[in-house]
Amino acid sequence: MKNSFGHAIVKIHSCTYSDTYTLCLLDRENNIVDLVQNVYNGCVEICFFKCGCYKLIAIQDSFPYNIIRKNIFLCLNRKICISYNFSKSPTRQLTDFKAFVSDANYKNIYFKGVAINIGYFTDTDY
Amino acid sequence: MAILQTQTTDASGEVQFTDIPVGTGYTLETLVSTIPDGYQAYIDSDFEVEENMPETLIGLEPEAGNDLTLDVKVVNGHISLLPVSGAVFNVFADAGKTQLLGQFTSDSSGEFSIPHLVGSTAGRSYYISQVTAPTGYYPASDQTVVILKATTPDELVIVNPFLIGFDAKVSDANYSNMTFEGVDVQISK
Repeated sequence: MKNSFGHAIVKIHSCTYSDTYTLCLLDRENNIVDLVQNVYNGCVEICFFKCGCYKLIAIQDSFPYNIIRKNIFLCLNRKICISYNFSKSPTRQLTDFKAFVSDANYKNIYFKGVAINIGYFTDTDY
Repeated sequence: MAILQTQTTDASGEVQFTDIPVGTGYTLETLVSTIPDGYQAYIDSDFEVEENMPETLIGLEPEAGNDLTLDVKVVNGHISLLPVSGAVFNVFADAGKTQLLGQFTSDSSGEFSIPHLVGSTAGRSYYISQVTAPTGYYPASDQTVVILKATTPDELVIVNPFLIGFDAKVSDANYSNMTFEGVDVQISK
C-alpha cells in the first residue's frame, strides 16, 4: 500500500486478458495525481491527497488503445471502488480489405505466395 | 512492430485482411523471404484502413540495377538482314500466356524495346509470341523464350523470312520439252 492520505481501488476487467492498461488520475486542473502502469485484469490502488473531484482515465496499452474516462469524487475517509470494463470489441469499427501484389510496372504480372503483414509501430520501436 | 495479421497471396496475387479496425498509422509490408527473387520488399508505413476501401495495389519494384530493358530487332533473314517494320508481338510473363505485359510493334528500323523486365538469380523467363507479320513476310513460327538474369540482356534478333514466289516445271528428266499436266507439287520444310 502506498504511503498517502487516501486511496481508491480500481478494478479492471478486460476480455482480452493479455492486455495491460495505464491508469491516470487527474485533478481538476489536469495535473497528474497518480499514475499506475502495466495494470492487468484485477484490482489496483490509486492514491490521492485530498478530497475532491478527479478524472480517472484508463488507457489500453496496446492497439486499438481504448480509453475510458470517468469523473469521480474521492474522499479521504471513504474507500471507493471503481470498475472498468474493457469489452473485446474495440471502439473502432472493424472492416475487411483486399490487397493485390503485382509487378510495379506490369499489373498483369502478379505473385502467389507473398506474405503481407499489417501492423503498427509501438513506442518501443522508436 | 506489433503484427495484427499476416496473409499470403493466392494464385491470383490477392490477399484479404479481415476485422481490421478502421484507422490510420498502420504499416503494410511484404515479408522479404516471400517476395520473388529480383524484386524489392514493399513497405507502407502510413497505411490507412477505411470502410469499403478499394483493393490495395502493392506494386513490387525491381531491385537496384535490375530494371532491365530488352531490345528486339526483327530482320528478314537474308544475308543483308534488312529490318522488318510493322511486326507485332505479345510479351508474356508465363508460358500459359495469361500474364500479358503488352503488345509491341517493330519500328522502321525493325526494332522495339521491352522495358522494366526483372531478372533473377536463377533466370526469369519471358515469352515473346508473334501476332502478325507485315505483308510479304512470314511470322516467327516459334514462341521465343528469353531468360533474364540481373544483367543487361543482349539484343534479341527475330527473323521474319521474306516471302517470294517461284515457278517450277515438271517434265521428263531426259526431255525437258515433254511436260506433264496435273502433277501436284508440294513444298515443305
